[in-house]
Amino acid sequence: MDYRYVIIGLNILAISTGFVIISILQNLEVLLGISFSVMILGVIILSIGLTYVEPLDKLYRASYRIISLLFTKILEDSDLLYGGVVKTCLGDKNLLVLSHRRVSCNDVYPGIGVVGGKVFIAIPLSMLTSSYPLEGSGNVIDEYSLESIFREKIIHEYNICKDIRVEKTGDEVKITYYGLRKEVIDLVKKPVNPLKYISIALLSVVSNREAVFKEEELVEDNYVQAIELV
Amino acid sequence: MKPIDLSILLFSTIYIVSMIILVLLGENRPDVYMSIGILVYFIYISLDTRIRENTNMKYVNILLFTVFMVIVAYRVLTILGIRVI
Repeated sequence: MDYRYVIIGLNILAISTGFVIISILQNLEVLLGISFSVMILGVIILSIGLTYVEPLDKLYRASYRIISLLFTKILEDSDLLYGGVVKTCLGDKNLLVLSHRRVSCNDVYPGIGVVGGKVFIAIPLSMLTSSYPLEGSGNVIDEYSLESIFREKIIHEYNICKDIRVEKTGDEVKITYYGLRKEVIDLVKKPVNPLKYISIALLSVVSNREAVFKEEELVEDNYVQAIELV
Repeated sequence: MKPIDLSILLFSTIYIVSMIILVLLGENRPDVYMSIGILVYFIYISLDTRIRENTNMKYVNILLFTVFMVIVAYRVLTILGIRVI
């Protein structure tokens, strides 16, 4: 409930009711129409005030902090927190894999596992790209199309940054995020950086090629990632 | 300012402007003011989802839609020459 709108709505209702009575008594049709329409406005604002609930942003932030803490601990215990390989596996599996060294996609499965005595963590790509499969995805290889898809997803859907540039040199794709939002800068600085996973998953899905994360750099509010398509 | 504040401010402004336009056009039928107001509301909430996402307007929507349909039915019957009131 938002009391401000309840009070505004009740005031509008009271005033418009007064005018409705006056217009009926005086037989003023124009005033009656305006009074009725203002009464409807009052009802709408009153209903907004009575039924308003705060957005779930705060809940999501708290949930993220808890999950991030747990995931950081898992990565730390698996010795994957700093370094390691972040790659994608396509085909039947469609996974994002975090491992010590490059592992074969045939050996991995969703969740936490061990290959060659080393731990890996695999997350389904569908969890990282909200609308999966993406419209227009698959075999997109030219940088203009890639940039257009990234712009749609990163700027218009997620509202992560002000501008984005995608450059493709051979098999290496360089993604530059210009003007990151302050909250996103805080996320990028954390050991579990969701933007890293989202961008590699998105690139892999739209280009329909497996990808390996190469490097990243944050300079003020600009963030650069290099990802190799394999 | 919360996002919902901006939505309500914008909606109220559009609503009042549409009423002013009707007054300037010399409209004096009360049901026209009401039906245009209800239309403005439904068009606005279909374009700006913030009000829908953060409130439960189900019963108000049903009420307003019923009022709108009654007005439309009344006008149709009047055109057909059937006197209801």
